Amino acid sequence: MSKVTLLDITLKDYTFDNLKILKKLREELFERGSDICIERARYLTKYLKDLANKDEPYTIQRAKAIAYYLANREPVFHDNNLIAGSTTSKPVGAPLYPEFFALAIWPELESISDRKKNPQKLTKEDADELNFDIYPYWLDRSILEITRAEYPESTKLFDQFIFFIASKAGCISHTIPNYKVVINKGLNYLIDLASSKEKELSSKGDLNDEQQRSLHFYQAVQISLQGILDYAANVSKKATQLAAETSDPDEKKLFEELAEICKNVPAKPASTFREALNAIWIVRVGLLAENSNMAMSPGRLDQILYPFYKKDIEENRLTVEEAIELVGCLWLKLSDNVIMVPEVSEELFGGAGNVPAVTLGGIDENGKDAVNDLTYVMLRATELLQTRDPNMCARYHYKENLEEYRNRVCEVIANTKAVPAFYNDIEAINTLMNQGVSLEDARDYGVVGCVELASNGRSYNASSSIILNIVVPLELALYNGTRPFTGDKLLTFETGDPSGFETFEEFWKAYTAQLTYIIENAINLNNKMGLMHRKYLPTPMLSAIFEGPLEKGQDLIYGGAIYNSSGATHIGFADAVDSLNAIEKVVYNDGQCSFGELIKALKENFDGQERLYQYLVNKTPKYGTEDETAKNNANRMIEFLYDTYHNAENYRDGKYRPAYWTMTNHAGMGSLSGALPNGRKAKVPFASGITPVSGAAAELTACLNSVGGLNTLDIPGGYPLNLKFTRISTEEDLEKFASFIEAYFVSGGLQVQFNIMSYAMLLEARKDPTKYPHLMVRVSGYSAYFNDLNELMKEELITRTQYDLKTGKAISYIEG
Amino acid sequence: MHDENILLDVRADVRAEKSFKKLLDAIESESNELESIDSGLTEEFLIILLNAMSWAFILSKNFRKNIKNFDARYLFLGDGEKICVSVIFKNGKMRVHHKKIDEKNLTIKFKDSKALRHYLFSPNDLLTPILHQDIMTEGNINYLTKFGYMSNHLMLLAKKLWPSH
Repeated sequence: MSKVTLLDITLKDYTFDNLKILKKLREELFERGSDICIERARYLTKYLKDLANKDEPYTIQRAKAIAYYLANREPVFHDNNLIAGSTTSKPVGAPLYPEFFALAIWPELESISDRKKNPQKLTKEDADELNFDIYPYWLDRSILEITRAEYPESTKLFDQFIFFIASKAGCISHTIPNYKVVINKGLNYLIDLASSKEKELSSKGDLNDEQQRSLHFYQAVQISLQGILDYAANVSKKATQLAAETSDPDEKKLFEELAEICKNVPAKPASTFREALNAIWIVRVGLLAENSNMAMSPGRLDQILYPFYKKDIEENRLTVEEAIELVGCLWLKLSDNVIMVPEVSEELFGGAGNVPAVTLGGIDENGKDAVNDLTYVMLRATELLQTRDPNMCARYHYKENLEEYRNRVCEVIANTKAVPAFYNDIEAINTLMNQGVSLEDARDYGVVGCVELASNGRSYNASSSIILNIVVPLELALYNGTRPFTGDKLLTFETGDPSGFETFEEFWKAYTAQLTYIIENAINLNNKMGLMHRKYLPTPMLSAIFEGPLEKGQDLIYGGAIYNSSGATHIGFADAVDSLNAIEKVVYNDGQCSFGELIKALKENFDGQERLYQYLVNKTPKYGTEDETAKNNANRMIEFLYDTYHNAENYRDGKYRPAYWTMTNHAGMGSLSGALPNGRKAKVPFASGITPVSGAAAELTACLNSVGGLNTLDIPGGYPLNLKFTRISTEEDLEKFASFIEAYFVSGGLQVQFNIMSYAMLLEARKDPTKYPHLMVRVSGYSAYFNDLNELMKEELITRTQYDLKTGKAISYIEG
Repeated sequence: MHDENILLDVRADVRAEKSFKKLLDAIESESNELESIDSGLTEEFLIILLNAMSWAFILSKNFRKNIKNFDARYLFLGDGEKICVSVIFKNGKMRVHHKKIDEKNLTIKFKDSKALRHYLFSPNDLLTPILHQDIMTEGNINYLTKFGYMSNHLMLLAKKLWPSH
């Protein structure tokens, strides 16, 4: 039976004219800049420094520190949002995690408020507190430095940053908690469950080490969940106080309602749609107290919230208008925090939100169409708000989902110009099953962060563990272990001067040797950091809100989840593949030049080598076309990376899952690389995600076939294909747009995301930012506001291939 | 931090004033991107910064708070190892030596004079030279950010002392 009863799935009658609360909250969000919030760092440090019982296991000390923060932090109401609770003490706050990377802004404490790009406000008092009281405690205690002290050799390659980023220095987070249990059973249930497990274990008498650890885990679960309940109780008290203080009847009603809601949830099961939303939000606030605010994703909200929505609608407790307003309020709450970004990281990560991915639609555990009325409510809220977060993802099963759903998603993309991203259920489910996920659990997948796939509440993916630059090993192979940017210094090891290579295979061997070395280093460091996370950063709260850990008596970090893996994403895929294509053709097939001549041209950034440059750009095989050499090299690269990672295991007995999302790293890392054999000049951004190099794929159909032809089973970490289209303005345009997506999915494509904007529009936005103040763009995974991005990333977005929807042909870029 | 007292004290002490003015000269040279600087002069820049920092610790109780209970050992190596300066913070004091030391918390290696100047006078931007591999570090990078805070504060202070310099 269809779960769609709405007469008009576009819900176009619901606009900001009748959704005034949303309109106001949205305006307030865009007026606000972000502030650094030191509250978490303050309480965590104070507890661990002065209050902790050092004789207790560290798991308990840390759980108590998180609970101490949650119980003592100020409950604040920054606006009249219909949902209570906030991630930080600021309207839009960047929380500090000193156990991770917060010390990176130490040099900037006195200037971060006024820096040119994306300033984050910090008061002088807070800066002094960080400098004198908080940061000194963490000098030798951040997870990277603990790892370095324990395993000094493991960080050497990482310290140079250019090879790979070991993300565990900044977070694990990237996962989808099991919010279903939160709204259906409540935290009291989980606390009771942990308590009974603890008692059961205690009654066994003498416990071995593993059992002791389980015992402490169950204790830590109770402590940390109680922290969330204390916070909810404080929010409720504060709402009661505000209700008593205000003379505005609407505000009084709002605060009275919120006080009541927070008395019930998340302690008890939610009894209404609004309670369920608020329960999810308060628990999320708790989870971000324990875990860094990076890509902790809500998952399939249209599925888990649907029973509450349906019941409230049927019992006349809720109207569609109110549902849109409540969903919109949650979307805006999800935007209440951003990541703290040091000035230099703007080059690599500039413009990022906290990337909570919400997944809609697709099929259910039984393989049937899962789209329901709430799916459309959420799409409408997304269409109206057009905010960077949450990262909206629409699943589509072209055999089970209806065309009207697909077309509605297309319409929202056209109207927002960017979201949601589209996911192919058939490929995604097969890919997850190939990783050992059961059919039912694979069907219940959601998106994590940018594009990563996870079974909701069951997979601890750590999907952003490694961010690896695959162009650097190409340079190392070209220059015999050195890079032009660092002169003659041997960075890894010699693989031979390519001028002496007689076959392309010899070069491939040199490249993969350098690549393997870097991958092995990255895996080694990730595994070592995982061990340090076990010791110093266990996650009992997140573990409780997950399937597996409470049953096994094992924290997630010890492998408590049902499915365990680590993710490794790769920067520079298309440029690396096209460079291999070019070498194969010009040096070994055509004999257009010798390897020595090619390297000389690269070193000189093609100065005075116009003929060779033009040949490389225009006459060599390009990924994104039907050229067989290009297809072979792309598939070979994908297969090689999959096999290399899959031979390794992570510290939780899980596999490594390669991926190809790049966020804004492709721009930053590109700016640090020399000229490449594909004709890319030095310091130019790499292509994004799995997307062909800008200008390389002239025909859209060939481009989609080429990406769709990649073996998705070898890309379990996911990828974004970034496409740019001219305006979608007519029904015919929309139909054509939808049919492209359909054809791409049938050909095997996994994911695709769009910017519906032209070169001219983006050039104008760069020239005059006031004309497009909140222009949302898809970067390469997440969404960002164009004006927040660094110049390199803007340039990359502007020059991305623009396709004419009517002809399916690329439009030439003419520099503005 | 309350720097009113140090403003008066630095002006009252000829040697301190000289040291701070030299620092401002050095900053100015950096902002003018003077390229013809040999390693000797680069080392001088480093010493100027460290001297000014030493004066600030002597004269300002508030600035001294930065090194209260801060025991740390830094080694700066530049131009191969032509430049070799170590800084030791211990018992609330700062000592500078022109020799290698053991048991460093952090070693900072500079590719060349330009990299050193960039590092010394763009302390907000500590990671850029690492990304470009103009400087390499060995050891705990939190000590780099701590040092970056102190030198940044010092430069803001020097600019406050002589705004029209």
